Formats: sequence, structure tokens, C-alpha cells
Amino acid sequence: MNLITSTGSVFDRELRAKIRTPWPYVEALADPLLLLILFAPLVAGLGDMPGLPATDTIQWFVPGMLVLMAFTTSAFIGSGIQEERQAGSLERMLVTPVNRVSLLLGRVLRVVVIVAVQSVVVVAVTVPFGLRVHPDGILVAILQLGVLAAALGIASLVTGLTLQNAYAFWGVIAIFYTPIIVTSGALLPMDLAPDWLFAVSRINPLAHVVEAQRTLFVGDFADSSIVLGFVVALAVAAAGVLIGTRAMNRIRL
Amino acid sequence: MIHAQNLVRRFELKNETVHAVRGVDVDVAPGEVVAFLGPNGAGKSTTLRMLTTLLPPSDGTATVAGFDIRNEPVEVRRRIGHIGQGNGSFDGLRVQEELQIQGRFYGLDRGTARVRARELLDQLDLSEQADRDVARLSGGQRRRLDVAMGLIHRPQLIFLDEPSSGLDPQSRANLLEHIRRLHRQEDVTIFLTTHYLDEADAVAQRVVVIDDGRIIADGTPDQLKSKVSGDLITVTLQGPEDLPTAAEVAGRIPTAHEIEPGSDRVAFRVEHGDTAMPELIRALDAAGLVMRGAHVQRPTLDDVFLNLTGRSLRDED
Repeated sequence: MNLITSTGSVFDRELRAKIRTPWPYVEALADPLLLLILFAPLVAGLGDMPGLPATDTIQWFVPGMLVLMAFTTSAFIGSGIQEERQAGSLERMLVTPVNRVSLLLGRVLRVVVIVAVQSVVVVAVTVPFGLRVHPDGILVAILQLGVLAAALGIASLVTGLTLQNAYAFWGVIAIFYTPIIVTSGALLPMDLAPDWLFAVSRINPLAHVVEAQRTLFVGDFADSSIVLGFVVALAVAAAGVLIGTRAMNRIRL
Repeated sequence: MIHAQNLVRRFELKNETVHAVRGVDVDVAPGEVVAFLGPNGAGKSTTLRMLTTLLPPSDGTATVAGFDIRNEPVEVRRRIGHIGQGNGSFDGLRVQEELQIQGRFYGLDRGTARVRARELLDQLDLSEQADRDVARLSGGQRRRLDVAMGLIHRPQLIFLDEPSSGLDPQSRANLLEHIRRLHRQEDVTIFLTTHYLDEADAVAQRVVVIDDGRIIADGTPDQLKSKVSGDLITVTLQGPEDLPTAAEVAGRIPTAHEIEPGSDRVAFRVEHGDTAMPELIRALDAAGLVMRGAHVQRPTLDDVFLNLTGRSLRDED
């Protein structure tokens, strides 16, 4: 079994396992959509602030919500592999000749596809409320969200494999969740932050992707934030694949 | 089919080293059904995990289905089926989905996987459940799906790790019947671990007994039983007054031992009870004693284990 066909089979299995229940999508979309409904009006009410447009809040807010949506879709999948490890189905697959890295990549591929589809849905829903979309920009933006989802997905799987038990996994998520969301700049601009908090946001991959997304939605391709967003997401993805490959080759159940 | 030499597995815990397997040699020929019998924690599963490439050995070598477990694990995996202790299927997927995708993990194309899956579901009485979510299967059905997944690629050798643990007696009997039929019809080699004596007795042609990480006995169930304790003969007499004579007559049989007179019967162990019995009856008759009954009981594997280790296997249940 080569990597590509193996990944295809794992992807197929993952997709089928989650296609008949709406909950994974509710979990992934609820947070960003509710923030869009409940929090965006508050941001709009703030008016003229550093880093925030005086009007046109939706244009500023929606790209950030797409990044949060990519996060909530992909960052928790490590618990799925933990459950399969616990149950015995992971063991069953490890005794087949399937390429072991593909057991991770197939799962990652599912969240990439789901993020792309969900992005199209969110954009389609918000355009009637005044979101403007640059035709080429949106394609690159969705591509970038896919790369981000892959990076976060593989990172989550590696975390799940390394920590093994569910309490540890959700503990780590609980610790990182708020800092990642707040310093991403998706909710409020990091221009408002004191220096130390702004410094923290620079090591948050999401912050760079949020800035890149806002640029992509208006189609300002000359802006360096777009490249930086890709570089950061790809770096996380590459590190994740490297650590994940090692973890799968050394896995003991 | 399996050729293992001095397999060793140590686990390093915080401040101690656990010796799970201390040097196991085992050879299994094609077509054999071998039960690996031992109490919990004896090293059965650890040995099985090494042979199925789930765990690298700390020391020693093994070839399984013709390939080295260390250097060619993928070749080993292609040729073996493994039915583990846990649930091989995962909730949310349907029976035939898990089965077909398992086939594709072995390189079958979609069409072949579909046909083979249907065939196996039929063989294992799961056709009606084909479109059911695996979460809604009974314990026995779920176990049979595990077996089907282990067979999808027609392996030459299958490993079963505690196949019937957690099943009710009826599902267990049913599963064992499927295993026996598999061996009869498809001529696969079967290696299973168990801590149930009757299970080893019921399906295996050969029993390998492991305790504390070492193999302590190896043979057919009958060999093991005859080697260790001999058969139990019980003779029931007219009354207690005949007991001393009967015990004396029994003692004249060369291999008789552990002679224990009871209230109206004498029990003793002897090698080859079937052939000793006629001899005994003639001798008792010649001594003028009248018997009300006579009974030969082959030793159970529990007797074997007790004799080998001084402990009963049943304590572990």
C-alpha cells in the first residue's frame, strides 16, 4: 500500500464515520457563527480604534471567523485517534500493511476538505450582509485555510498520540485555547495590545493567518502578510508531519 | 509458519524493569492450531504482539509467514490476520464499510473488497447486519466482525488474542465453532492465546503453556495430560469393609499412585487408565470383591497447570 492509496482509504473511512452525524459540523461552526452574530455587533459599536476600520466591520471580522472555524474543525481531532487507540481499532489497522503515516494524513485530509466546504458556506452566507470578496483572493484564501487546517490537524493528532489519555489531551486544549483565540486578533485587533501581548501574538500561527486572510479578501496581493501566513502554516504542518511520522513508527499500544 | 527463538521483551517502568517475556522459543508448522495457554500476565499477549509486529522484541529473533518480524514487518503484516483483544471496529461506521475499507488497507480494489466482504459476512452470519452501525451490534456479532476483518485478505496464518473473553457462553461456543470451521475448510494456521482451559482443549491440536514469561510445557492436550498426572480411576464398592482389599489390589498395578480410599470407593491415579481398567476389574473379581461402578477420568488441563506450577489456573479468573 503506497502512501497515496492508503491515505485515500483512511480519508474515505474518516469521511464515512462522520458524515451521518451533524455534531462534528455543529461543533466546528457554532463558535465562529455565534461570534459573528453576537460579537461582531459589539466590535462594530467600538467605532474608530487602532487596527479597526471605522465602518465595514464585517469585512474585518469574517476572515478572522474563518480562521477560528478552521481551528475548531481541526484542533480537536487528536481526541478521535485517542478513542480509536483505546477501543482497539487503531491496533487493528496497525497490523495491516497500510502505510502508518497515512493513518494520520487521511484524517488530516478530511478536515482540509471540510474546512474548504465550510469556508464556502460561511462566505456565501455573509456576502448578502455586505462582505466583499476579491475573486482571486478568495481562492487563495481558501487554499490557505486548508493549509492551516492541515497544520492544526496534524499538530492535534501528534498531541493526541503523545499524551495518550483524554484528560491530558483536553487539559492541553484548555490551556492553549484561550491564548490562541485571543492573540489571533480575530476578535479584536492586536494593535490594541500592550507590547508583551503583541509579542505573544507574533508566535501564534493563527495571528499571521488572520492578517493574511484580511489582505486576501480585499485582494491586496502585494502585501507581505499573505506570504508570511503561508510560511507560518506550512512550517507548523511540516513540523507536525515530521513528529507524526516518528510517533507512528514508534507507536506502542 | 512461525519460528521464534529466544524472544525477550522487557518494559522499563519508572524505577523497575518488568520482564514480560523471558526467552520464548516456539515453532508452529503450517496448518497447526496452537493455543498459547497461561494465566493473566504470563506473557501470552506480549509474545503475540511481538509476532504480529506490534511490538519489537528486546532480544531474540522470529520469522512469521516466512519473513523476519524486525526487518520485514510489512511483509509479515501482508500475510497474517490478527484479531486483537479490543474492538477492531469503531462506532459510527457500518459493518460493511469497516470490512471493505479493511480490504483496501490490504491492497484489494473496491470491487474485490466488496465481493470478499459480502462473502465473509455470509460465512460469519452477519449478512443481516451489513448496513448496521457497528455500535449497534451485540458483543458476539462485533467479535465476528473482528474475525471477518482479520480474514479479508485470506491470510495463511491468523492470530487471535483472547478471542472469547467477555462473551457469553453461547456466543463463545458459536465463535469457537467458526474458528474450527475456518481451520477445516480454509486450512489456515491458527495461533490463539487463552486463559480458558476448555477453550484450548476444544480448538487446539497443540497447547503451549506459558507462565512468568517462559514456556513450561508444549504438546497435544492428551500428551500434556498423560505426561503430568495420569488418569483418575474411581471404583465404587459394596461397602466400607471391602476398602482395604481394594486399595491393596489397586496398589499392585505398577503405575498406580495417590491411592485414596473414601467412604465406599477407592480413587487413585494411574498411567493409561483405559488399559489399566480391565486389568483392575479382573484383579478385583479374583479377590472376590463386587463392584457397583467404575470410572476413568482423563486429567484436565487445569490438573496439568496445577502440576506444572503448583497454582491453579482458575484462581486467575
